Amino acid sequence: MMMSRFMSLVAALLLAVAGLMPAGCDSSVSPRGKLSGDAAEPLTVLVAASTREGVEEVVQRFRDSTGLAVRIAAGPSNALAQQIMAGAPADLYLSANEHWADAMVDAGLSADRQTVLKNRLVVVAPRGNPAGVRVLEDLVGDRVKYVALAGEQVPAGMYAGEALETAGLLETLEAERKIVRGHDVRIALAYVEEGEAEAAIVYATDALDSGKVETVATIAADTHQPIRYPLVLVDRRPVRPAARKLYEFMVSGEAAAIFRKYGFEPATAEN
Amino acid sequence: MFTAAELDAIWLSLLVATVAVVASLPLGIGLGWLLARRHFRGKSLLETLLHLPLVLPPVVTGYLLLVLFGRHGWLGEPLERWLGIRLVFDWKGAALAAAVAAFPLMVRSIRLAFSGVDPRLVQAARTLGASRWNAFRTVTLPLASHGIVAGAVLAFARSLGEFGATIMIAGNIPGVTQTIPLLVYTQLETPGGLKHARGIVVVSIVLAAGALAVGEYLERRGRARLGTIHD
Repeated sequence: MMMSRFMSLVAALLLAVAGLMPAGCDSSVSPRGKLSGDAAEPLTVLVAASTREGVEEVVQRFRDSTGLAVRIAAGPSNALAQQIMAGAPADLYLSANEHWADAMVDAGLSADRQTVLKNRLVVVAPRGNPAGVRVLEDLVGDRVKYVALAGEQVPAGMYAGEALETAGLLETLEAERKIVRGHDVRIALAYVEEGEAEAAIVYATDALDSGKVETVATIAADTHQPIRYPLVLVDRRPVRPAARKLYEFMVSGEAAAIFRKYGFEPATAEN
Repeated sequence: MFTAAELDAIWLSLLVATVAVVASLPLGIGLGWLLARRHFRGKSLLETLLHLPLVLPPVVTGYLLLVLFGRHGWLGEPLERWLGIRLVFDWKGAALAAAVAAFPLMVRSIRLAFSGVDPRLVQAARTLGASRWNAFRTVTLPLASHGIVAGAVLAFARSLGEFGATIMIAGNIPGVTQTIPLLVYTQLETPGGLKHARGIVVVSIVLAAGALAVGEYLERRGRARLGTIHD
């Protein structure tokens, strides 16, 4: 019957694909184990969500000049650190705070480390500022139903929590159940972009990026830990020369100039 | 024994799953009956739409729900303006996400149950003078009841585990929308949090297993009652 002829054809195709799979597999899982990388495997950089666009341009400049393959994954710094500590094959890690870079050092995973970027916190609202937020204290007012922050372990969420605590507002906001924690700072931003939250505390660089929000208040830098982005060269035992090359490029003045376009201030040796 | 956050999560999960199932059951029964008993133009389209939540990635389902039911969404805006109902960042949004995710499972089970009901029994009831609704209520429904129960239980268990769509539309707010899966996920993202999650994971398994056991019991009882009707 037609049906069983078709089914045996499907079965044959599946078997053929299954048979060809081992032959087609690339050799990126080297016999030395997952931690060390094969020479042919692309470089992998895990970066804080807020730096994604800047890193994409920096990496593209690197690709153009060296011809090396690089993969980028962006996300909340805490989750990325977790992944690397659990064995994820990353060559570089750009964290949005020193805390998660320290965690990498404590875990013996850092071959080199340098702070490359600085940032600031701002309060953003949907375009048009429907709740009329002018200062941080307005967040506890009646017109603001939800304030979006990044997660409690995410650097942006930690800085924001600190700033709110310094201003004496954190407890009130938590008691009023006004705080919505996004998976990372970009989700917090998205909540405001979509008008679901009347305000969010995000990085000044995120506010620049988005056309759907406006910056309504600034947050004094002395109300929280200085916002610093350390770049970690992950010790994959051994560190691949290509990874070292990318690391050197990302801490260079050329990369700093690119990051400046996105609103990041470069970190100098003094600060 | 459990932290406040864990107790909140357990309570929220039970609330969300119960509301999701109870609210979608009438529609599930209606659609299950319709698909089992009637042929009409657009039936395949309806079936495809119904199966979408089963095959779409849950975050995509969540995104679609957000677009529809968000503050500026087609359905969300009127809901908020005229009924004052807000779904985003609210347990009701979590219930909606769970209901949508579980609906295909519920309908499949109910439809199967209805197609197993012998139409001649219904015809017999009609010839004896029962109205359509009466025949449905006293003949079809009881005969299909074990399938309906199975569908409800499956939907309940699925709702307990709903994550992707929930986190999109309801957010992850402790005490307000943080259901058990969301709490476990938050613990996973915290270094050292895994060991704290053990208790809540056990609770999650017990709840799901309990739901299935209750469903099994109800189903068996339903079938036993049917046995006496036939005799």
